[in-house]
Amino acid sequence: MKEMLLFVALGVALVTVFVLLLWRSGPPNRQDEAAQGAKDPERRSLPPEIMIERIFGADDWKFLRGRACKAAEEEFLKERTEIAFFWLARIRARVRTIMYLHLTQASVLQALEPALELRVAANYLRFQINCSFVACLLWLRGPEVTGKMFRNADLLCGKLGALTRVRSEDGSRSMLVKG
Amino acid sequence: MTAQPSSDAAKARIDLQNRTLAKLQTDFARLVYLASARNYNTGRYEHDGLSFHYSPRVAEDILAEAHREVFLNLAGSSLATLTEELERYIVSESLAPDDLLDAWKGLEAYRILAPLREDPLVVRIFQSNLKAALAVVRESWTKARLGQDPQCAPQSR
Repeated sequence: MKEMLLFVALGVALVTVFVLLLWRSGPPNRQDEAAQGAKDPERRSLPPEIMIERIFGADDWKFLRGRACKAAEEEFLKERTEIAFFWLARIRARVRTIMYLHLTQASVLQALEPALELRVAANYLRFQINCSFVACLLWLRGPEVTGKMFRNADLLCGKLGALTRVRSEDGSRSMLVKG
Repeated sequence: MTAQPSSDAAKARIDLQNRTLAKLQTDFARLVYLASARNYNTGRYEHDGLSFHYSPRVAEDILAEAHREVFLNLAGSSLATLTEELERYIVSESLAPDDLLDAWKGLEAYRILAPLREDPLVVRIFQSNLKAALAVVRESWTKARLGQDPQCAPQSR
């Protein structure tokens, strides 16, 4: 009984944190759109894995080190850090948009699926924690160290997108009350 | 008749590829060529030959597509590959490395190489890598020159 209560309390706490985070972030704004870059999703750009490799991969830095003057090396590292922060802002903006749409849709749903909502909330929380760690590490150590965590953030972003899409597809079938 | 525009586009693409781009030896040369095919006042691509044979619209679309393709290819490549491309470009165009390096560093000419509406993140990655590649080429060129001429004093940075 005690364990069940603990489980429920944990669930409620997760949902509360999730709603609070979402409430704090608000609807996607113009800055988010700018951070997202190309607005047309059909536009072909660099595949995410190549983009991540270019920003966080150690190969470019290994190649440059010792081959150029000190100033060029320092500038390269500084720019890589700026680019990494830009990428972080973009992925956060993308998730903010996903969650805003998810919450907007959830508010008009008749039958919510608690299991799905909990999974979304847990993943959102994981994503936020991951991004905070990445930002700290990025600030302290630079992009080469944070590559793996960025890949995690990217995976979590994709996972959240997939989870909310499941509900979007279901919702479009029959569960909408309004509209 | 409805297939005409796309078939024009396909022909124009082959024309551009075979008659122009294939003659340029490196992707870097192709990028410079395609970036300079734009009117810098309007950002639109212009090509008299393609416009005459097809239409200005087809020419513009084809050039824009080719530009994006070459740009993304180079932006996604490693710094080592980009540096190699840059070195090959300097050799193939018979350019004096000092002139090119000074001009590109001073004028930041590499900023105009990206397509107009490209993802800003990709543009930043490319520009950052290109700056680093220029620094590597400058360093290796300086070392090579010092190696050839022992009297030559090292340049201050």
